[in-house]
Amino acid sequence: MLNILYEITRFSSFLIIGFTLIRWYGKKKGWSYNVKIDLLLILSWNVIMSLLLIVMDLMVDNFLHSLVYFYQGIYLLFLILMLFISFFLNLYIGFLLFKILYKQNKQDAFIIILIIVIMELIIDNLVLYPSLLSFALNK
Amino acid sequence: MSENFDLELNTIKTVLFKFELNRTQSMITLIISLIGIFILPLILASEIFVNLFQNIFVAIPSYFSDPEHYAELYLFNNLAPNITRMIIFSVFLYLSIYALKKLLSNEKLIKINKDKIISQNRIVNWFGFKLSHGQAFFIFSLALVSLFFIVQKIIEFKASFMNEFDWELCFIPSGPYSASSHVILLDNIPLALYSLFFFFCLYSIFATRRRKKSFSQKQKIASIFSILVFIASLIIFSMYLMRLFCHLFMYTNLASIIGLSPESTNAYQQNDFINVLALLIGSLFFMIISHFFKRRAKNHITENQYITWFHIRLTEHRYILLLSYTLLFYSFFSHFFLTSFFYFGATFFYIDQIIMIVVMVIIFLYTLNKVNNGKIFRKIINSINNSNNFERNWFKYRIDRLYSIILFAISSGSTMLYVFLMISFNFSIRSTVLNPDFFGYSIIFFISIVLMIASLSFLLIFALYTIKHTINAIKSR
Repeated sequence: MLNILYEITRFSSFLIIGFTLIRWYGKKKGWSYNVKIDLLLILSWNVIMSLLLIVMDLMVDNFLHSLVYFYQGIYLLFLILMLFISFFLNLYIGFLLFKILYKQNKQDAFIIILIIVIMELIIDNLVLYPSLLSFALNK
Repeated sequence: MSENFDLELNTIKTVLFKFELNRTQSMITLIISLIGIFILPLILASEIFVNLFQNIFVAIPSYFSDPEHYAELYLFNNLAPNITRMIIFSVFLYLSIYALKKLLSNEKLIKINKDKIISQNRIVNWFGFKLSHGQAFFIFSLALVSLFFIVQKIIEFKASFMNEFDWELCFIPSGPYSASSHVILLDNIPLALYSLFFFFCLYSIFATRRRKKSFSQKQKIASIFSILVFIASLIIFSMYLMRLFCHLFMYTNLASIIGLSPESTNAYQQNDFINVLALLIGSLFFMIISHFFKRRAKNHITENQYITWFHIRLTEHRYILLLSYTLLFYSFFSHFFLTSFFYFGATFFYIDQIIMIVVMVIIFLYTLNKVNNGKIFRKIINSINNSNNFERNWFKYRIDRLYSIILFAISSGSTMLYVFLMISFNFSIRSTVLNPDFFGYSIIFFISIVLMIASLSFLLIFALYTIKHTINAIKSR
């Protein structure tokens, strides 16, 4: 179920942390890009990923529950699909945007993009559990 | 020149649990120990933050609030399996770290008394198979790990933690929806099965450590495929032998030996009896013919040829990555599936899950067939070692290119597993809490989940650190 407050918190925390990390790494590596490009990278990356995850959420609400009732294996396939989108596709989009905006070899950014993706996943969980806890206790 | 180097490379020795290991065996051992280091902390964390927390904050306070309403050994029954698992996984973690330290510290053989070392030049007799030193080390490691798991199962069984597997073993169908057994059988048959497995493991540990030097080129060494077939058949045979005893002690005059009167047979029991006999004969047949499987001579790969995996050309790095990923994913998923099987029995699995397991096993065997070639293995290790000098720091160790690739493979594979687990936690909690029938969890459950996520995050940082320090090993080629 789509939780607007959760989505907004996730979006803004990813924006702040992602931007801080890419600025720090850029300075460390000696890349001289201005703030606008860094912000554009994080913002566009975040928008694309948020849209994809919202589509996945809607898919779960509309189809998955009924399908899992008949085929238990669908649940595992869905988890693999989620892994594909939130990790591999996320990494790929990060590399692609980095290549387009920074015009540098994507191997240079492997570590920082991996760190941002993993930080995003950890933040996703850190934001999710307090929101679910309040929901569960109020139910 | 190349052959001399090959010979020299395989004589670089490390000693682990008194077994002398060459470079190839050290590499496989390093992969296994790294899998332990990356996966076991997570299993240990789940034991502490989920099971132990439930015991400390829920079971024990409830018991002390009103002890008269609980069974006599309530605390022992709850705590013993939990603490046993924690001890066993801690021992495994310690062994993994010990092996890693030994392999990375490049300890010289000269320091160790050579009489105490189990040498490479020997052939071991194990259940009638002639095993090479490497195979003996594999069987030794497998038996050592299994021994700990069997001890865990016995303690769980004694703590009255009887699970579906034990019930499925002892209950004989007596109708379309009914089955019958007896308390004497339920108390003893699973224990007899675990004792039999315990004996097999002890025998394997002692048999594979014999120092008898009897190496001769004429002696035929068993293939790894025949050993795997034998082990699988032996497990099935032992399980169904115990079920045969259940039939004999319930439906024949042998029942009087244990003070029971024989029950009358019916079509369901007879059908089950025939199935048991068929499986016993089948597994015995495979146990016997596995001794006659010939070790297939692998084709020698020339300079211009290359090996492929599902039409993907395997370069040296891809070969090492594929081998590491295969061992990592199959260790993780086989632990999950085998634990589920020995707790919940075969009925736990849905048909689509069984299909998935079969597909995974086929892919595993296909991959194993591709990468299980000693000559190619040595050639790849040669090639990587011949390349330009490469050394990196990883914690306090200096690691070369080969070990860096292995570390990179295991840490990146573990990252994928951690992310997968994080997503599955996230998804299952979200779908449970949002379920209309949800009645609410205790606050302890949520704290457990948050602590599990914290453990996963810590392990992810560890994996990221390893990736950062080893990625150059595959980048620059």
